[in-house]
Amino acid sequence: MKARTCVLLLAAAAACGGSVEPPTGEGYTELTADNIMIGVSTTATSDGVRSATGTYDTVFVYNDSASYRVKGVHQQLFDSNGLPSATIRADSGVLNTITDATIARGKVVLITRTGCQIETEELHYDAQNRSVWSDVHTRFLISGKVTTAETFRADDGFNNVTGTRLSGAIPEGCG
Amino acid sequence: MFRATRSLLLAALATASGTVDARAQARTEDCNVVGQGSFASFGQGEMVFLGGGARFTCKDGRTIRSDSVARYRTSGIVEFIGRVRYTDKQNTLTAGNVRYLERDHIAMAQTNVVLTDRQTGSVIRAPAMTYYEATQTRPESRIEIAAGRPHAVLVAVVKTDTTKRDTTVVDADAMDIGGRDSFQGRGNVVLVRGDLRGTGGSASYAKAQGDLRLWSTARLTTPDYTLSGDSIQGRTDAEDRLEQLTSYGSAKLDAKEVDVNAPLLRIFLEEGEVSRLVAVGAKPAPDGLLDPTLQAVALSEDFRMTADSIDALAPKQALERVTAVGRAFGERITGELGNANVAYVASRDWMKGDTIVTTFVEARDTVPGDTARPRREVESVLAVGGSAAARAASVYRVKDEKDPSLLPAINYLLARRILAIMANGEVASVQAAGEVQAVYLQPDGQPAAAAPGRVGAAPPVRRQ
Repeated sequence: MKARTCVLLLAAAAACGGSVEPPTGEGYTELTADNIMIGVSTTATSDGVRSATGTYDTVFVYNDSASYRVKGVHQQLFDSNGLPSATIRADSGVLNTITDATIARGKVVLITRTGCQIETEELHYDAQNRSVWSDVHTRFLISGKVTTAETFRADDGFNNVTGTRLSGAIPEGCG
Repeated sequence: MFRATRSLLLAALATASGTVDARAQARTEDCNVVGQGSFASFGQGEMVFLGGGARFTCKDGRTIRSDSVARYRTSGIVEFIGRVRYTDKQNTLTAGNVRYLERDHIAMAQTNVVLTDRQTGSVIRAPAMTYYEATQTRPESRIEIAAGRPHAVLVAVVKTDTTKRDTTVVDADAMDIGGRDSFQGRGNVVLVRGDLRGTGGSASYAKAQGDLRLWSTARLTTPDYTLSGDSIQGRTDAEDRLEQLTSYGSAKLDAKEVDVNAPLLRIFLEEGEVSRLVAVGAKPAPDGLLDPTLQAVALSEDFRMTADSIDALAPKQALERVTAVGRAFGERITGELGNANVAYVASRDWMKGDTIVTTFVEARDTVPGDTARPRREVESVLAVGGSAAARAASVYRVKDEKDPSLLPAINYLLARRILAIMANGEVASVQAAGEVQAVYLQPDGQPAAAAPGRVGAAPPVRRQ
């Protein structure tokens, strides 16, 4: 049984509708979001256990969609025991408020608790299934050795990793 | 032999490992993998699999590729599966599969294994091959082929002329190659090197010691001779050429002009050609009775010699002198009288003594300029008696020149020293010295003119 909790902390001023001044420039005037939130933190749980937390510089909310578009992504993933397993930073992303699935885009950097670094342009995280994957070129930096792959899929503890077209040093594991 | 086999397999196979010693670790860092298909890492890298084709490339030029690779970290096993090809500057290995045991530093290649020395062209083919890397507890690397009748073409660079190659082809039921210099073959070994062909139940070769051995019904064949025995030991010189062959146990030399049998046979070679032969019989029985089966025996088309030992000198393969020592006995085996009324002892020419020395010269019928090897013929035969009462003895027969169909007269001679001078294959004269006794026997019914005396000194004999 999944109990979804999504707490939106409006740490800064919330911007609802288009009646307030744009906080960071003219670009916001062009956005079509129904709501824009600045400085947002979220927590996702799975079976009562925290699976991910996230802070976002900006969140774009659409009334007709369960997905939020976010900018300035900072996430932390937790394993099934609730222990930190990885952090994710990205330029932007998409949060699904129903499934807690996350898509991070643009200079995505995932760092595991053991120091493995994964860099890609698009990273998917499925909190329900506790899986992380990318379908685009990905670069792994493990123990100082670089490995690339065209695609990869892993559990959020990075115990098991699969993918295609591995190149570079063979990964020793990123748990 | 294969050079740098120490680096063979292991260097590249270690690219898939990250837990071996510092040297292997360094190799790992020097190598990268390019996977053409999928990969999977399970259990924090406990098991890593690459499928759809994987290629390892190292900075020093080594490469290894296979259809897929699986590595099991805890057990320390790396499996290269399907169309494995390893290449470094010196060697290439292809195989269906290769299993590498990281901790034991052992690589096991299976299915149509071909190991090629790229520098010399040496090739070993086998259904399966195991490579043991040199380690602290295993000072020398080793290639083991336990079964499957491997085929090896071993090419060595001739030291004196690096443009030339010396090729040896070996087939055996099983092989062991240690380091770069030693080889062992087991089970129906067939070894071919130029004109030389060796066979035996097993074989070994140690290059550093220049030691080649064949066991169990060993046989060495060249265009000039065949040497066989229970075992054969060969010694090679610095140029890897045979310089000495020794056959032990029921040794037999089968040559064009002479066969030699003895419990031990030793052949000395110069530039591949026989220069000397020593045949040694077994130790005489304590009772002193003569057992001809334990003596050395030399047998040619018309001559047979037995002795405790026989030493034949043949520089440049031209027979020069044969020395038979110890209860020596020589006999002509042509011109035998097939008459039942003639005792064996009188049916042929023979000579015996403690020592018999036979000298040879180039046959007079040799055609000048003939490129074929000149025929050698006996020049003289010297028999010397042994200790005390043991005198040399000889029997030679004298044909009736007027009527050769008549039985020959028999000349029996005892002396300390008997020298027979030969001409055209016949006894031309005999010289005897020391305690000479001679008996001349004229067959019955012969004209008296043809028989100078029935009993007495034989006219052809000159006493000294």
